[in-house]
Amino acid sequence: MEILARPTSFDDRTGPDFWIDEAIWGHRLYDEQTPWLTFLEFMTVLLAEHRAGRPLREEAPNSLSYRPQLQLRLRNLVFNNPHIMTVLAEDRADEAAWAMWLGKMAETAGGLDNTDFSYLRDRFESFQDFAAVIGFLQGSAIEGSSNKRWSSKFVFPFGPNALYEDANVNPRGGVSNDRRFFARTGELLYLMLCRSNVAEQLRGLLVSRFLENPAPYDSMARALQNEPQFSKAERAGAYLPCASHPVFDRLAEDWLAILSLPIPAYDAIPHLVTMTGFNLALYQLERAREVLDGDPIQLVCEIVSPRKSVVRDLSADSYQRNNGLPQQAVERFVRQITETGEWGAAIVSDDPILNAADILKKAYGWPDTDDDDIAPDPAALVEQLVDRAISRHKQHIGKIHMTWARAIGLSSRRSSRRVRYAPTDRLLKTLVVCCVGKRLEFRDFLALLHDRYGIVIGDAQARAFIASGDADQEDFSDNARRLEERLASLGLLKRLSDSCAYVENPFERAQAA
Amino acid sequence: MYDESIQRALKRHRIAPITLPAPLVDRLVQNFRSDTPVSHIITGTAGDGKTYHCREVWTALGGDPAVWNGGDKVQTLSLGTRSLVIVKDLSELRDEESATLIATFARDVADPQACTSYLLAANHGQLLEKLKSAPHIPEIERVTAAVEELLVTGNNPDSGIAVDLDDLSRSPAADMAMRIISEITGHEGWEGCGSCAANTGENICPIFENRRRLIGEGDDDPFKKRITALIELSERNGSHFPVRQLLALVANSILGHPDARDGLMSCAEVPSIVQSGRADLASIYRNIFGENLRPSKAEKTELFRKLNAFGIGAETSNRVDNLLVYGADDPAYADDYSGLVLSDPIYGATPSYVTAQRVYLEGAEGSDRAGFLTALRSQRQRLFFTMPEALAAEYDLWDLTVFRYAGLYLDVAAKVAAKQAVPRQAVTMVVRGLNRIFTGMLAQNQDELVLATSGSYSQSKRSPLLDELISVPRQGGEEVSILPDGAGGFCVSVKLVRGNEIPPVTLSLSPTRFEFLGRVAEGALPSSFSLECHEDLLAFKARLLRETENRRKLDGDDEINDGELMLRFIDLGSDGRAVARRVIVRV
Repeated sequence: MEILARPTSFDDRTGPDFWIDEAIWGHRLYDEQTPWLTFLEFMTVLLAEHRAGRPLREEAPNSLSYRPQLQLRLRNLVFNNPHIMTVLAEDRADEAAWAMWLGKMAETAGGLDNTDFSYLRDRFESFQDFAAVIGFLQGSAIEGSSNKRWSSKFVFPFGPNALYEDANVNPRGGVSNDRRFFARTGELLYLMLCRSNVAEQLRGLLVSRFLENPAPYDSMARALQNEPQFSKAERAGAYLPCASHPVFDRLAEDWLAILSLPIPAYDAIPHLVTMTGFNLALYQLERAREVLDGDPIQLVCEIVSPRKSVVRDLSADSYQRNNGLPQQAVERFVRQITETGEWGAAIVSDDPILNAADILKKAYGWPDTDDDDIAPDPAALVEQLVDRAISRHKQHIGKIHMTWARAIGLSSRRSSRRVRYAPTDRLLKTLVVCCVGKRLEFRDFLALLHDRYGIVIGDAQARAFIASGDADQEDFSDNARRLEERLASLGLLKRLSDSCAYVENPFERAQAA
Repeated sequence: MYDESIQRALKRHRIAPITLPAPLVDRLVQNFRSDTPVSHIITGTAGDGKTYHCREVWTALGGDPAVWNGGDKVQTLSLGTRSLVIVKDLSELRDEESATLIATFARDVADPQACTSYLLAANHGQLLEKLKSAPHIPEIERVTAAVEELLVTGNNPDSGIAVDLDDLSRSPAADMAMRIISEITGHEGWEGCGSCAANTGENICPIFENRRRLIGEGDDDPFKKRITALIELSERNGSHFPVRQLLALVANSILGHPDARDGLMSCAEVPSIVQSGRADLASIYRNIFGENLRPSKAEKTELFRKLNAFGIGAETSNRVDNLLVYGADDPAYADDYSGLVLSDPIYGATPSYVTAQRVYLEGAEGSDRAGFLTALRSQRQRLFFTMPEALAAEYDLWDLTVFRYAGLYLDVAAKVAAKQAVPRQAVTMVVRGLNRIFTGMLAQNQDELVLATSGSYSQSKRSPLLDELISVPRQGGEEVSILPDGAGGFCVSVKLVRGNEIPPVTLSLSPTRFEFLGRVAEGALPSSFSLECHEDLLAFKARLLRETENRRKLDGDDEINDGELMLRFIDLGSDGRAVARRVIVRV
């Protein structure tokens, strides 16, 4: 697999101190950007690139540069508009209500040069109607109950007019892009899909289903926003190290499978979000494994049982092991430099510390020559870099496995003190919807989940644990039985008899009926 | 209990076997005797009688029982110029044996000229495993595809493959249970009991008593009806009862007692059990739920797991418990108490129950509450099976189970099967339940279906926008009704237009879904239903939404007209009815 060079063209001023996490996973994965926000950032990129005539097409590696929508009027109306309740409470005549509201809004709207919203009066028959529409948009917002700042809240992606970038609006009205919640993870997702082997098919589906045939509700967003607003500057600088990767292909195939279902585009979104979160979490583990040259990633999943079981412990162990991989990879990635001939030559040279620092600088962008606090010998220098890299890694990138696994319903602490892999009903449903064409025998389904994602549920997949004596066959076959029962109760499985069952895709099935 | 061992046991003990109807045998025999026989696969759950069927066909077609009992895995019978290959259990064959057999089988069923037909038996999993592990030649793949389709849908899509499949696990177990009860209780072997010392004078043998109760008195005896109802409800929920389990159920019901060896009484144990004064624990109404067995054993036995899913004994209503606890002293309950409890001195008002009840009511220090609660549990189980129909409504019989709407469900199922009008109450309940789930609001509408959308994705819990109101009584092509679902049950069907341009959208109603809708319509939703039915119903809604959109397309209605987008928000009026409020946005 080809690893692409660090891009040199973009502005380094706000860039990271050293290039380690980024070199392994890209610039960048970020734990506070939830899978939903990753999806929204992706859609923002896709829309901008579609306008520029190159959707899901990467002209040169890591050259992505796009100008996203801002839609600040829409956002002020939906998320920075506490006045509607006040005005409605005063119970004035329609004319007076509008006037009062327009006055208040002109004072508090943020980030706009022109705070005149009077165009709205022609679009609604009454102030009450306007209030109802705003209430609807607030109710359907993404992660609507979060306490994020108003400029980091998002309306449901009805269509092109409802997509915009995360922003920071300061009290003086300045708008900047602080990458607080759109931290480029969506850009990485975009690049991954660009580089997948089904980009061609995905492009058509994505554009036709999300951008070119928006539902009527998108026109509602447009009525509120009026003309679209764009960011002032282009957004560049995303970096994805691998020119291709099996995870990219798998991710894109999962998207393709979901988008090909006969369901409305909106209904596909939650499944896309979940599979994105799952595949990105696996991408992080997979890259760590590659750096460490370790065994294939396995996720031992407990299907929640009423009592403590062997599988529960194994699943918690498996979670813990995987959770530690990224950090080990960071350490290994730094230390591997000491095994090179160049390094060996440097430490026996006349000025080992200077030469060693040069090598590190070239490889990891560290140390900064202005930094006074530099270790006195090469070995200590490496230790210093390892320490710094790990403490930076722990802040955000190191938390991704933990936060995302929880966000998509893969991990849980239900009835236990340790976190373990214990998929929720919703995740199970998404997996079925995504992986099962029409129907699949239950045992084949378990094998597929294992081959495709490393998920271990049944005894056939857990042979290694059974052979090593960590578990009995019965432990895992009970686990599989619980999955069978749960899928059946979710309407995703048809049991023919005690020994045979089919997992069925509910949407394909609806089509056949 | 396997067919092979039963044959040996019959000989050893010299008893007459019970015979059960096997209509399939006649059909199979007829088929194989005809000029153009079609090969058959018999499948079913373990204990459905696959081996029994094979043996019966063999003997009916003139096969020698001695040859059959020789136990060859593959038996061949020549019928004139043709031959018939019978395999009573495909899974007995080693992989290489079955691979050869399946290859010739696949070639023969695909060849109209072939003069060998087959009768293969296997349960579903083994059948597929054998087919899939066989070498991948085109004929086998074709047969595998056809068999898979037959298993799941019951139809053979490939007319070039002359094979048919009989799934014994689809035969209704309720009828079979009644046949088994009448065969077992009417067996000649009981004749010896009349003169038994355990059964003369004052003595009552619990085994004989249980048999007597199982036979019942007259046609109105509620016991068998309730058993039938439980089996039928269970099957409608997708849990099948194979013949072997039904036999075990009847045997356990008659013989069960917790103090007996293995939990099953033998004649020799009866006198000591009766003497110990614990004969009431042999109550057939407890045995049905496996209470004569250790709890862990009952939990591991599929049969009892299925029956205990009804929660009979644990579930109750105030009225039933008032009767059982205070009935002895409360004049308002006096009549019913004497009719339902005192009239049954063997399992009802037994000395131990009456004492426990007294002690509980007097609240004596250190009294054994748990003991009384266990006794109460047995009494509820007994009442469930013995409550006469006349009192069932008054005491809300089905409140004794987790399926409180099961009585209505069975009523609807019977009416639908008999092509009679469905109780109005059922339709309004289903509609109101659907409306509440569709809107996420406590809507009261029951004469129209409130099809709401969230505006975003369908899984969203709140749906503030109205898509359409669909009339429940037939009106302008619209209609919501309860109809047979073609598989013996019923479904709710929503018709949107006159004619067939848009087919009706249907949702099969299993007892669980029906219960879910009933509870939602009533207002209270137990959390035990979790996601399961909710997701099903949201998927149903998504299908409805797709069809209403199709209807709008057919009618040429656009959502945006002359630059105006009309939204219809749902408001709940003061009477709880959902009404639409139009909002227009100029876009």
